Amino acid sequence: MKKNKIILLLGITILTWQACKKDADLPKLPSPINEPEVITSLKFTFIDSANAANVITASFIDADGDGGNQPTTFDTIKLKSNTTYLCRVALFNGILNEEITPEIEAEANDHLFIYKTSGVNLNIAITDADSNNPPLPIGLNARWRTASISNGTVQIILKHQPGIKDGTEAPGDTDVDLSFQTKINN
Amino acid sequence: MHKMLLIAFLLCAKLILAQQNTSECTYTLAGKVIDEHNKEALPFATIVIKGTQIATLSDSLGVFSFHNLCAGKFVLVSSHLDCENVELEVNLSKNTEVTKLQEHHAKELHQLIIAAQRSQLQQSQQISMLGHREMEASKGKPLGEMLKGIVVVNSLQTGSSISKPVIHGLHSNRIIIMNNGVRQEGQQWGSEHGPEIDPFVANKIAVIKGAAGVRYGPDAIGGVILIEPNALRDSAGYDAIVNLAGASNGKQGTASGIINGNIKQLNGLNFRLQGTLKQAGNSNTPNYYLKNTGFNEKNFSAGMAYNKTFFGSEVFYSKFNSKLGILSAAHIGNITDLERAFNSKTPLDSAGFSYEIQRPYQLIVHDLIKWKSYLKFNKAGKLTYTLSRQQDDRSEYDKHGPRNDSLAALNKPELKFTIHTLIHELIYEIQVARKFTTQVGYTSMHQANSYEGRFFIPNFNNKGWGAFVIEHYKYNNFFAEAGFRYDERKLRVFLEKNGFIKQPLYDYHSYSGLLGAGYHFKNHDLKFNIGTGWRPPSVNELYANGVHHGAAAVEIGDENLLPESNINTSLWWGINSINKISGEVEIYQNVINNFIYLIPVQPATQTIRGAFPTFKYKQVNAILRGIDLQLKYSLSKTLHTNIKGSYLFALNSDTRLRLTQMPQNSIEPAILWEPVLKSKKWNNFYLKISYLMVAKAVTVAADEDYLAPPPAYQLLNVDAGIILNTKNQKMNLGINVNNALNTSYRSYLNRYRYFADDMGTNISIHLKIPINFKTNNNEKK
Repeated sequence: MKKNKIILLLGITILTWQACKKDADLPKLPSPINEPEVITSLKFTFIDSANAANVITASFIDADGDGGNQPTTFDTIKLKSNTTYLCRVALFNGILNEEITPEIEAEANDHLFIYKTSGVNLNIAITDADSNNPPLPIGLNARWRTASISNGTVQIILKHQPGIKDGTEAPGDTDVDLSFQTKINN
Repeated sequence: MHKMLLIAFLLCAKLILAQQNTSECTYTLAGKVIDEHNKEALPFATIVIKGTQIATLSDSLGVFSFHNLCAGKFVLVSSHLDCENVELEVNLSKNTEVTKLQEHHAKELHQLIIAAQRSQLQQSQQISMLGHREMEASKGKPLGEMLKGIVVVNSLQTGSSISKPVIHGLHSNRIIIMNNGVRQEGQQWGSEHGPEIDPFVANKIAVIKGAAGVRYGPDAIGGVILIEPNALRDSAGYDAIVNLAGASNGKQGTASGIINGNIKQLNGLNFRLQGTLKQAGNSNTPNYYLKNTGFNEKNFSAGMAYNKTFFGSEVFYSKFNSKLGILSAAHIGNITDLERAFNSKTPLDSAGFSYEIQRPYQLIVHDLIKWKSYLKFNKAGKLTYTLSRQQDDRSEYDKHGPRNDSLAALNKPELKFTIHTLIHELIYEIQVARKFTTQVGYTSMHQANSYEGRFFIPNFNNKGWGAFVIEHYKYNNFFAEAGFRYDERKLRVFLEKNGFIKQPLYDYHSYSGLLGAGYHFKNHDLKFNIGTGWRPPSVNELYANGVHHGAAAVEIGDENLLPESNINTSLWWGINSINKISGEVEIYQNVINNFIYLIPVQPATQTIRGAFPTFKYKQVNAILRGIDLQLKYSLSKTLHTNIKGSYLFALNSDTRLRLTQMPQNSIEPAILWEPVLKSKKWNNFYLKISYLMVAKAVTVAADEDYLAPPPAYQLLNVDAGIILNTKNQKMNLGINVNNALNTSYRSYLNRYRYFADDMGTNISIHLKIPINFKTNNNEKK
């Protein structure tokens, strides 16, 4: 009887020790980054409708996405007064270093850009449309018509509205919501 | 010798009886049911006066009483889940002192399971157990909801499917859940990460409030929840239990079954198989359905044991598998979306009833395997060893899958955590000179966590060990205990920054202590306890950095946080029966140093989706004080009144401001009616009507929360149960109606309160059918 107990105790000790040893093989290192498709950066490209050589850009860049490092670039949009610009929006994923604009274009029926101005003498009209019936605006391309000199903000919102797009801002979730400082100079 | 053996085998419970003679038909018969083996009180035993259908339950101290009895001979029948029915004849014409009642001790293993988790000794820290009735009545509900039946356990909810227990204002990492003797390790840091446990495994659910660090290790500064399955069979044969539950809200259905067996040919090898299936659809508030709030569970467990007097071994395996829908309206893109959600009377994303679970949802798989053995030495004590391994996989699917079609087709989670935990525990217990009992233990834990997908917390490795000693002294009605423990935790974090891997190592170590005493008076008990504990910061508190989509806030960790430590003092008064009043009152104070707390910081974090309010983990000194009470007053032998209440005052002692995210104070009066039924088939009927009144939570500073706490609310709940006893079959039937008046309300501790109302009326029925296989019982003879 006594002998049995000693054997059992020994067995337990060995098992404990063995189990501890095995533990060293448990995973430790970060697995390869498999980031989901996020939008981290946005870029406006303005082309003067009267002079195609006159190109202006403005960007928001937060290459590592939400949290982490603060955004590195948040430009002020500087436009000339009484000018018409053709504006194109481009979206990027800074983590995977790729452009997302083509995906938005492919899913244009589920996406809508909204532009809101405040304090600036500026009129923004969306020039593209999706293939919904009737067609609804997308907003990747827009005509920006400036008037007199002024300062203010332009807010750009991208809504993801899968199957619920109706041309208004209300439905869906917000993918982008940025308020750019905007200056209209001489 | 032969007779002695027989008695030892048959004795399970003693019934100590004392009676007071006043005048005719006003006799009070009070007694106590105790376990013969460990002399512990047996709560929730049913005691019936044979032939009269007068019945009562023993309370948490094993005490029961009958009032207004006439003189004469009675036969008391006591039944308990762990034991077979016992009968005792009482002559109520003269004073009888102590009478013994024998109960077949069917559950040897049970004692062992209990022994590992709580010493068989009285503890100065009160253990509150979920009543047998409350447990039956809450069958089919998540664990966190079931625990609400214990006074002062609140729950931190994410809708109706995710429910986390809150003890004295503390939850998540500050509470340890002991699931079948094993410390549950999943992703418990997240407030929307519910415990990965199938409550149908449990036969007993109990709560230790306050610091319990000495026995259970670091982190237990809020308390410990014990979940214990029933014992395996010790006599040859087979039995089974079928549990069925249905609920109107969410059209929820639950089926759970247990099969127990003891194979005679294999010399007392016991086994158990258990499984649960649960399915629920969208739940509804009084006015609308909550879209995508369905969930399902598929759980399985199996146990096998071989027990002899001096040696025993047991293997247990369980698998928890759950898919939980998250309210679509609660997944927030940015602050504008959030404000739109607040201003909307009904959720923006509404739906009808459906069982379908769409994105966003969580998929959780938890595996536990445990091996436990003991050795008993004649006079040299008992040694118990437990080895367990757990794997917890948590996959979170965001509201939207990848934009890329081929990636979307893979339907991968946007975030997945996998955590492995290995725990060893060695405990030695010895009694010296019948007065002193010493318990010595050693525990070690190894843990590794990894993630895939979007970053929220980094990968880490957590290694720890601890050793403790508890000394217990008992002399007549007095007992005292003292304990000490030392723990070390080594946390290594793996961070990837600009292609380099940084591996900071944190080495935390500290002490826990325990000092307590208790005295048993004739009609009541007093217990006093001082406990200290500590908790190292968890990885999310050190390294979280990102937008929390459920809260539309940025949470930022602080890698320089220090461990929390606390001193918890409690005074408990248990009343067995004084002037027809019974119950318990507890006063406590928990002083927590370096309490880790989310504090709003400026400026808000600019992201491409706008600016998010930002919260940082900081440390403050906190004081939590409170009173819990539960009192019962019997109006007559069939009509009783009951009152449950809890009051908590939580203060940030640095700023002298109240702490937020704490449960509201509440009080719940109830009437309990237990009429005597004429029928022989139907017995143990009860009807309970309770009115829960919950106060408004403490108002917080405007920058600490988006919305002011919801207003106070009242809920009417009705509960009824009966036991059907035919010749061949016993059956427990129950019905309960939660929120009977279909009141629209929002609970402060429900994370969906920003977006939607709480559940409307929910009618649930439950049925428990024990099955005994007759043929095998005969075989035993």
